[in-house]
Amino acid sequence: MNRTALLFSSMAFLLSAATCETDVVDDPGFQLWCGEQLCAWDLEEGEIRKVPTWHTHDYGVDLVGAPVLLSQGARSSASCVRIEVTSQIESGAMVTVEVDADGDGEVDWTVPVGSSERFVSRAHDVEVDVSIEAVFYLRKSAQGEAVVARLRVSEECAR
Amino acid sequence: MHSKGLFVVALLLGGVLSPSTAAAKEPFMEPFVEGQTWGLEVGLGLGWTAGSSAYTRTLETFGFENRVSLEDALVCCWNDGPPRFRFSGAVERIVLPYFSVLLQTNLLDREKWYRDSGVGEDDVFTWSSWTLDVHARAFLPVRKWFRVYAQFGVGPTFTGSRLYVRTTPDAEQTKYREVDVGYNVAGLGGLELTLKHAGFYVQGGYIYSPSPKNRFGDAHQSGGGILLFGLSAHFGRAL
Repeated sequence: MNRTALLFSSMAFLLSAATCETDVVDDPGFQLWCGEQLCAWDLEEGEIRKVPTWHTHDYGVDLVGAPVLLSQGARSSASCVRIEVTSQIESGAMVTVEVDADGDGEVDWTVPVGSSERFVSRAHDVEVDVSIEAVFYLRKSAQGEAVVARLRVSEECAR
Repeated sequence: MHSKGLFVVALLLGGVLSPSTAAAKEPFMEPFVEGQTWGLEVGLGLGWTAGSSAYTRTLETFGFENRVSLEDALVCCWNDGPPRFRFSGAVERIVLPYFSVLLQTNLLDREKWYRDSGVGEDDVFTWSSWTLDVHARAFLPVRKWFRVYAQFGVGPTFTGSRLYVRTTPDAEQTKYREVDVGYNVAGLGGLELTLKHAGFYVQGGYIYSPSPKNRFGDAHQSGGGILLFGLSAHFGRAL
């Protein structure tokens, strides 16, 4: 390998190491709608609605009433995941993100999503081995306004 | 400080003095560009604006980031973000020996933000803001080929934005265009050196322009400090 090729391959490696985040779920922004339903997420219980957020065409999912349960299987495995939620949740509307790490039907990790009067973004690092059979849930358990604009689950390789 | 105040008052008074009164009080002053009444100005320069605003913080909340562009990389290391390219164009009508009105347009902020969509291409959000103002300019013709001036303008700001995002299972992104109409106020000063028909000017000042705004009412100050260098032209019959 000549020097130039070595230089470029080193730069490419450093660049990939610096941006090593892999999404574990599809459509983290709740942007893809197939009619009245989300294309990438399964509505297991309750009612949802497409709503605009900061921009008329940047959507969020309104979890209407309670209970509401959305789910999605993992598209890759991970040894540690970062869960980032951007949401506007009325006080009293209990919203959680749940992780069934091996797809056995048992929830292994629950991350509460705090209430806020306007949209805020929060991140949680979850140290759990997520298999390719894992399932992620977005659950609303109590009445109150709850709009989730983003639920990103990514493998954190930086640690 | 006191003398500066007097100078400004003199500039402003210059606008309301009649030609005969002005000539009587300042006989040494020659009519600027021999009294031609029309002018054109085209300028390029830099603008300094606050890097962060309620608008950009909301973009960050929703996962967008303002990646460093080539333009930014060329002018590194400023506390409030790097200076941005600015453009200005104006048509001037001299209505009194020391006073003119202008129709002026300014390019303010242009920004491009990206977001990892998680479903293919990055989402992209861009905007650029333009003003279209009426300005009142009071000027002091130190010589017929040199003047200093101060001007104040108000008018609308038009911010065109584009959001490139996937909203259907199709692989293609959809482009959504919006135009935000806001307002701006501008205070500018400058000097101009010119031959009879063509010249050069330097202009600086501040523009307050809270546009664009998002659905929550968060606004971005697209104006800020501005410094322009440009070319001017003069023509038309004398006053």
